Amino acid sequence: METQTTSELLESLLDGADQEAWRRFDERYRPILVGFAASLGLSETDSADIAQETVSRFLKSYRDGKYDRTKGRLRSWLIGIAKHCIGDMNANIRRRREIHGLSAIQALPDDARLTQIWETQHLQALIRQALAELRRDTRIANRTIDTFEMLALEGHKPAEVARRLNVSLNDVYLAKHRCLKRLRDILDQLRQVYDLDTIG
Amino acid sequence: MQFNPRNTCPELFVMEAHVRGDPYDETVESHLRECHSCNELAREIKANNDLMTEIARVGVQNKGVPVAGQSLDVKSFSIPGLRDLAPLHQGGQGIVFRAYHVATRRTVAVKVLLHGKWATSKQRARFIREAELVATLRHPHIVQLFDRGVTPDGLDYFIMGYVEGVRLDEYMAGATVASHEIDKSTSIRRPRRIARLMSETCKAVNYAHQHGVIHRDLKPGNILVDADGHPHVLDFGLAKQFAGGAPPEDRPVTITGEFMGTLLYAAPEQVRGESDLADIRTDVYALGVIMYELLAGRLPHRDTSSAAGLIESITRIEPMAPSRAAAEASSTSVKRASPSHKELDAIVLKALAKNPDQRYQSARDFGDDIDNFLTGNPVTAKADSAWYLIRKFARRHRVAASVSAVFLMMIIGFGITVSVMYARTLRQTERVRYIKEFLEDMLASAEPAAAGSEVTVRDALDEAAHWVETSLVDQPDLEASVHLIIGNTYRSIGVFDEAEAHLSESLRLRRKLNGDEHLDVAECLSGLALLSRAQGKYEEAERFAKQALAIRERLAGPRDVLVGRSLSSLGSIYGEQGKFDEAIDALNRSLEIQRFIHGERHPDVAMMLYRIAELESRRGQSDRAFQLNREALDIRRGTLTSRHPDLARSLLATGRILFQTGELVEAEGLLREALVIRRTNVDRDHWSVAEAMSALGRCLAARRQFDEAEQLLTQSVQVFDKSLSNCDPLRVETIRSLVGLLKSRDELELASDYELQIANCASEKKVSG
Repeated sequence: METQTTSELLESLLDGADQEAWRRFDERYRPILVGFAASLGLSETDSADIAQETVSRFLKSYRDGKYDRTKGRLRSWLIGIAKHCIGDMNANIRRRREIHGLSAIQALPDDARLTQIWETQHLQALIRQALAELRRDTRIANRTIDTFEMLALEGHKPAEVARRLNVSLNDVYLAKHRCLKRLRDILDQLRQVYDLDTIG
Repeated sequence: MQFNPRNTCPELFVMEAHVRGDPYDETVESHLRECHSCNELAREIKANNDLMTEIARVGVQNKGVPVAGQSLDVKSFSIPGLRDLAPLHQGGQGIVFRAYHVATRRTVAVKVLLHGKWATSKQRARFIREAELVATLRHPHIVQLFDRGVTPDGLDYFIMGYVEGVRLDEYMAGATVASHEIDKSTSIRRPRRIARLMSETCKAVNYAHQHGVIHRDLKPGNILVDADGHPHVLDFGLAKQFAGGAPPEDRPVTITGEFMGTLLYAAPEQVRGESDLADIRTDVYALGVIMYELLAGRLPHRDTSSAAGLIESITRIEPMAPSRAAAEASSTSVKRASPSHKELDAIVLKALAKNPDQRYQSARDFGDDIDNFLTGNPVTAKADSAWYLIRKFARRHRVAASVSAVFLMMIIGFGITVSVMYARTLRQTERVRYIKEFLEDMLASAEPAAAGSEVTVRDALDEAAHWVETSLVDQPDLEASVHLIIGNTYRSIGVFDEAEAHLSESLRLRRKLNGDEHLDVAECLSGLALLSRAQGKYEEAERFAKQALAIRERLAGPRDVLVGRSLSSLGSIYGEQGKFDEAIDALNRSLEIQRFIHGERHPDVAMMLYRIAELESRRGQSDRAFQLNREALDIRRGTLTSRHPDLARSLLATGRILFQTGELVEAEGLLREALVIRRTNVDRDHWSVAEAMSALGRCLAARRQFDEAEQLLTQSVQVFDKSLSNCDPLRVETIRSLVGLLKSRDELELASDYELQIANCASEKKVSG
C-alpha cells in the first residue's frame, strides 16, 4: 500500500521536476474529481474533462503558492477549482441555450452539499482502493473474498450466496466478517495516508 | 433454542441476526450480559454492518478495481482467426499489427488496446455500442472497422481495413513525398494539393458526423495518406472513448508526452474543460490545425514548449496567417501573400476560431469552402466578420424586444433589410442558414414563458409574415425556411390557423425544391405534427410524425439526435391516443438515443424514463412503472438541484406507487419531500401544491395519522375548488378519500356534504357518457 501521506506528497509537488509526485497526486485525486463531477450531473466525458482541468489548474495555482495548507483543507481548494471549471463550462452552455431560447441550466448545489458529494466520492475512491488492497492480502483466500464481494458488492442475500457457492450460511457470514474487519483496518490506514483528519 | 447460553458462544450467523435485531432472541441477550468476547464481536459486527451500509450508499460496485500496468508480449501474441501478425506501430493506446484474416483472405490491421479492464459494465456496454456504430461507417476515406473482440487475456481489439500509406505527420515531414510536395524554390508548400487533401478529409469526417460519430482526436497520426495522395481517417469513435471516456484510473499521466500530443490538436473548448461544447465543431478545429500545419509547415500555436504555454496559445492567442508563418519559417525573404494565399488563410483561420460559433459549423461547410477556393468561387470565410457583427447586433437588441413592440419591429425591419442585403452576396445554402439564424435569434423571445411578451411577439410575427410574402417570392429556399420558423412560432403562442398556413406553405416549397426525401422536409413535417397534436388532431399528428421519422432515419442515421426528437414526439402522440404499446416502444427507442448522446445519468434520460413510467402506469404495469420511476428519481436526485420541479414530479410518481402497493412509510417520506419542493417553487394556492398535499393526505390516512391527513385533504380540496373543474379526477379522488376519512371519524354531516359533490360528478359522467 502507498504510504506517502498527502502532506508529504504536496511537499514533493513543489519540486517541479518530481514527475512521480505529480503522477501520484493525479492518481489519488482524479478519480474523486471524476465521480464528483458525475454526481453533479455531468456526462462521463465531461466529468473526465473537468477532473483533468481541475488537477491541471490546481497544480498551477499550487506551484504559484496560492494554496496555503495551514489555512484550508485541500478538499475545499479542489472543490473550489472544480466549481470554477464547471462554472466556466456552464456559462458557455447557458450562452448557447439562451441564444436558442432554451431554459438555462441548473445552478450548482450549495457548498455544504458539494462537500457532502465530495466526501461520498472520496469514500468511494478509498473503498475501491481498499478492495483492491484486500485482494492483495495473502492471508485471505480468494474464495473468501469472492464470497464477500457477492454479498457486499453485488447485493445478494446471504442465503443466496451460500446456495450459489455451495457453502454454509455460517461460512458466508464468516467471509463477510473477516473481509469487513480487514477492510476497516485498510480504510483506517488509507485515511491516514490521505490525511483525512487534518488537511485531506 | 439455537445454543446453550451458559457455556457456548452463539454461532456467527446467530450473532449477526441478533445485531440486526431480527429475530429478537432473549437467550442471546442473556449470554451477552456475561460474555465479554461476544460483546466485542457484536460491536465488530455492528461496525462491519455500518461499513456495508456505507459501501452500498456510496455505490461501489464490483469490477471497480482497475488492472494496472498491463503489458503485452508482442511475440507470443495471438488472436483467433488471424495469422502472420506483424507489429506496425505502438502508441499510448495500444499496438497496431498487420495480419492476415484467414476467413476473408485479406490483409487487415488489428489494433489491440492496452488500457486495462473497464471500470463498469455500463462503460463497457457503451464502448461496444459505439464500436458497433463505427462499424456501420462505409466511406472511401474512412478506414473501415470490420470487427471487434476480446483476446484470451481480456484485451479489446479491433480489426480494421489495412491501408498501404504513410501517416500524415510522416507525409508532412516529407520523408516520402517531399520532393513533389514542397516547392523548394520558395519553401512555400503547394496549397492546391493540400486543399484537395483537406477537402477529402473534411468530407470523410462530415460523413461520420452525419452518422452520429464524432472523432474528437483528429491529428496527423490518425490520418493515412495513400500512394495517390488520398487521405484515410483512422480510429473513429475509439478516440472519443479513450480521449475522454476511459476510466480515469487507467489513464496515463497528464501533461506529458502523450497528453501534449493530443493537446496540440485540441480545440479551445476542450482545453478549457468546457467539454459540453465539444461537438462536431471540435473536429472542425482539429482539421483546421492539421491544414494550418500542412500549409505553414508548423503548428499555429505560438508556444509549444510547455503545457501552460500551449494552453495559453490555444485559448487566447490568435494564430498568424499560415502564409506568413510559412514565409517566416523559410530561409528566403518574406514574400507578400498572394490573393489565393489570403483566401486559404481566411479559410484556415475561420476553422481555428476560438469561439465555436464563429467556426465553420460543420466539416461539410469547411470542405465546401475549400472547394470554393479550388473552383475559384468566393470563399465564405472572408465575408464572415461582417455577418458576425450583424448577428451580434441582433442578439444585443433582442433583450429589449419584450419592452416595446415598436422597437422590436424596428429591429426586425432593420435586421431583415441588412441581412438580406448582406445575404445576397452569399451562396444559396449559406444565405438560407444566415437568414434562418437571424430570425431564430430574433424570435427566440417568442416563447410564451417570456413574461408579457405575447402581444409583442404576435406583432413581430405578423410583420415578419408580411415581409416574407412580399420580399422573398423569388427565393423559394429562403422563403421555405422563413415560413417554417414563423409557423412554429405561431404554434408556440397558440395561433393555430396562421401556424398551419405557414407550415403547409413551407412544406410545399420544400418538397418542390428538394423532393420528398430531405431533412428540411422532415423538419416541416415535424412542425406540422406538433401543430396537429396541439390541435388535438392525433391521427394527423401521427401521420406527420411518422413521415418525419422515416426520413430522418434514412438520411441522418438511426442514432441521430433528430431521430430521438421524432421518436419522442411520436411517443407523446401515441400516448395521447391511448396506444400505449406503440408509445412505449417509441419512447424506449428515444431513450436509447438519449443514453447514447448523454450517457446513463442525465436529466434528459431521466425525463424519458419518467415519461415511459407514466405510460406503463396508465396501461396498468405498475411494477414496471415503479422501477422506471425509481430509476428516473435516482438520476434526478444525482443530477438536479434538490428543489427542482422535475425532482418533485419523480418523488410524487414514485411515492404514489409505493402508496398503492402498501409501502406506506417510504411513500410518506417521498411525498413529504415532493410537497416541500412544490411549496418552495410555486404559490401555496397552486394546484400542483394541492396535488402533492392530496397524495400525502391519502397516504397519511392509510397510516392512520388522521389529524394531519384531514387537514391536508381539506386544504387540497379548497385549492382544487379554485383551480380545477368540479369533476376533475384529481379533485374527485381527493374528495372520495376525505369522505372516507370523515366517516371513520364520525363527522357524518360534513362527509355527506362532500359526498354529494362526488355524486353530482358521477351522475354528470353518466349523463355525458
